[in-house]
Amino acid sequence: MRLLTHNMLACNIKGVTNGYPLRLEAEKWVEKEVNFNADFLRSVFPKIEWPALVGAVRALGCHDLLPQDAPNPSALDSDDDFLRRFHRALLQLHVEEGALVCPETGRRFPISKGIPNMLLHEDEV
Amino acid sequence: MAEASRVCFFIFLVVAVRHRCFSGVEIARVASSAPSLLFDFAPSTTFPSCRIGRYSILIGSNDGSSLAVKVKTCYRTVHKDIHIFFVFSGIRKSEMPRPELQAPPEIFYNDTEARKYTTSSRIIEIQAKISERALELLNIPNDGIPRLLLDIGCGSGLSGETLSENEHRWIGFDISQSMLDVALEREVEGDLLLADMGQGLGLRPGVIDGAISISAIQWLCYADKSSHEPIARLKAFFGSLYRCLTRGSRAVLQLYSENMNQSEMIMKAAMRAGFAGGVVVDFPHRYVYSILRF
Repeated sequence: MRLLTHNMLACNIKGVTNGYPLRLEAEKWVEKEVNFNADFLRSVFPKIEWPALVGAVRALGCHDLLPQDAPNPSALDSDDDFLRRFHRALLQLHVEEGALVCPETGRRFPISKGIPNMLLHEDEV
Repeated sequence: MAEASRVCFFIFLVVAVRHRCFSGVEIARVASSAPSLLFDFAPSTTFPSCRIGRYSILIGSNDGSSLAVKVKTCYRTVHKDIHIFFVFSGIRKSEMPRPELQAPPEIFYNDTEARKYTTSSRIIEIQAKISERALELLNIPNDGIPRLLLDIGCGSGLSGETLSENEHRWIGFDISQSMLDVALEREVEGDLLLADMGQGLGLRPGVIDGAISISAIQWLCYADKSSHEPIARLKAFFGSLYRCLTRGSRAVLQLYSENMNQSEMIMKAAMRAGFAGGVVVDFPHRYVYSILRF
């Protein structure tokens, strides 16, 4: 699971109103090379919840990869170094083993072989 | 009927957020993007009841295996100032045993069944063709910018591969661990989630640029567990799909519906969730025709 996907995922349990962001517990993660595409990064940037992305990056132990505060969108055009970091954070870091934890209920969604198990129990639907 | 000559055809359900992007003009553009095969249609005398212009759908091919899909129901709804007709088609049942009647998807797509999706070149070829068509129907602006898409019921990632080839990023949902294991083996580029679409897609609102689904939605019409209520599952699915899509984006859902009631049930659920859209019927191998009239 990439952090891009983590950034989009929210807890789906019935009755949960504050199921975002899912807290990331990463036991194992890997880095995989992905084609760099600045256009994609610019188009996806407005949709990213910055604090959630920073939180996820830190959960992987990469404390200095991204700035705490969301940069001005103009940085996407002028700051190539930032764009590369953003690319790395969003698309190249894969969580292989760990869990996603609902912030409201504490329900754990295990991640195994890079695939989060988001199946709900019958009483959660 | 021999394997090679079996007539198979496909129904795409195209739904769009904000009905404005579904003006008559746009539908016409989608339809004409398929090669026009009016010449190859079986003579209309064969199917005298099918007439273009009466919200009917004609399907034909040039090898005599033509068939016409009679329109049995025509719904007309008024969305603000736009009149939309929903056309449902009755289809001929396939000779193949329907997997939906055998077992729930997470059971049916076990290791053996999942393996077929990597070894059968016929399955792979058909999946690729349907996926390409679905991507085409998504009508993503041709600006070269990769989009963030969903593949619902992504299975072993055959359809996602088409998205990757077109540079798009995608997130795949599937309920079968065996199928996802195959996708891992194939090293697909999208992210995978083990999830049940009937429980709704757990995604933030307004972040996804489009969704495709190949041969998956019809599974929602079956109650595989006592707790399964198809209408509620369809509602959860379409409601969450509608919410997570960006303005003006589309979902193209290819399905095999067993009968009229299923198409109708699915379409109604889509409409209730706020979608506008229509049905496109395609002939994948020997071209395809679809007519939707407004």
